Amino acid sequence: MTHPGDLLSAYVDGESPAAERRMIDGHLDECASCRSELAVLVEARAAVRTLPVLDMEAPRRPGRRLLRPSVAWAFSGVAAVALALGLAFAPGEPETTFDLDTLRDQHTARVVVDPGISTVRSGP
Amino acid sequence: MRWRITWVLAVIGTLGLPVAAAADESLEDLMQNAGAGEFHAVGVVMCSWGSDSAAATYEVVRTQGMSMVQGPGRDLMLSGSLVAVGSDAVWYALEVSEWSSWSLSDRYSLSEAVPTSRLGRSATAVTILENGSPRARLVIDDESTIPLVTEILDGDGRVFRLASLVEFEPGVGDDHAAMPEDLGSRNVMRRAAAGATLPETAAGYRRADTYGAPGGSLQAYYTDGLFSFSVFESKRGPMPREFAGATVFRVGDGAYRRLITPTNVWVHWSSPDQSYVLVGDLPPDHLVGVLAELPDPGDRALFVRLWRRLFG
Repeated sequence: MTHPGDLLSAYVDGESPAAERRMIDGHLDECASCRSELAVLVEARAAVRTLPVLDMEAPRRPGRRLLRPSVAWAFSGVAAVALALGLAFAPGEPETTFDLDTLRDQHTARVVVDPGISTVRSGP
Repeated sequence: MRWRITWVLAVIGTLGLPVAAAADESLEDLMQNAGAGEFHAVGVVMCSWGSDSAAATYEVVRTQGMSMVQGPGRDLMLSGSLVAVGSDAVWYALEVSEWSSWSLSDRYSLSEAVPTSRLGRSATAVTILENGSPRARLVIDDESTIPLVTEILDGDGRVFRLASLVEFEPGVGDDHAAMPEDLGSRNVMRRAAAGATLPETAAGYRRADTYGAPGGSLQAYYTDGLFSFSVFESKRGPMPREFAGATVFRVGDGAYRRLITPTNVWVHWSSPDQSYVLVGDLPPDHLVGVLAELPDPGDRALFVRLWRRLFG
């Protein structure tokens, strides 16, 4: 028989069929390497069984709520309104404004190429 | 040489034709000739609208196709389509690259001419009518065809703006006006595509030209041939500080702020997405009609503000 390899794991767990178990027994009598591998598997199984069992449900902390639900909702509402007002009214991206001197000069530059009745269309 | 308009009107009167029937051409001639003469003058210009008023004195020299206007705060040198603006030794120039040809609205006509005198000179008084009602009164120097007095009337027939020369000397010498040697920077106003929000016409004014303006804004120039104004449109922004103490007035449901200077009226307002400044020499009743046809003032809704702030 060739080395049982992965069949050893089922062998250790007692899940091998009877015929397979007999073959493995015979092989182990003749193969020191497989006996050594079997010993490692047995030790690993034993080590796993010694680990403590944990309770997966976390215990609750005793204590009081910081805020009552109604107060917490009120604070949340105030914060949302403050955020909205801040976004609406706080200075944001730079916006365009007008320089009236420049606008006056631009208007004057266009006006004076047309005829006109007044001597001061381009005046103060 | 007698004034050409007087001659035209006299011929019309001799023929027994209604003056208004041919007055448009006479008025066009009058306006073309008003910018042709050479002179040196000192004048005063006043403007009044309700409780707002403004006045200034100025000096004008026009010779060899150039004009120098010296007023409070700045000087202007005009030569063709070039405008040089300066104070003391610092100047800069603006030049219009293209413009639409001038035309006069057919709502204006010229009344009969009346001989008069002004500043000791022979002159002619005329009234410009708008649909038959007085809109402007002028006293024009017969020799030079220069308006010595210009009164602009509001819709109720009251004087809205008065420009009057107090010193006048026609045919000045060549040494009175000269373009500054150093014009500093020189900016060319180029045509731009009109914004979608500004109409082609407004209360009898047509949008003659649209130019790109500093800061990505647009300048839409409107004229009816007699009066004119520019509407500057920009992305909605803060109100210019000059309007902080301006008079608030209403047209329909919209609130506007206005400033009066001797030669122009200024109006500022904002729609939900754009800000506007209008500047021009149009009378108050025209202005009200124009504003009613331009984008309405309005504020952004809260959720629109939020959306714009978050997502641009």
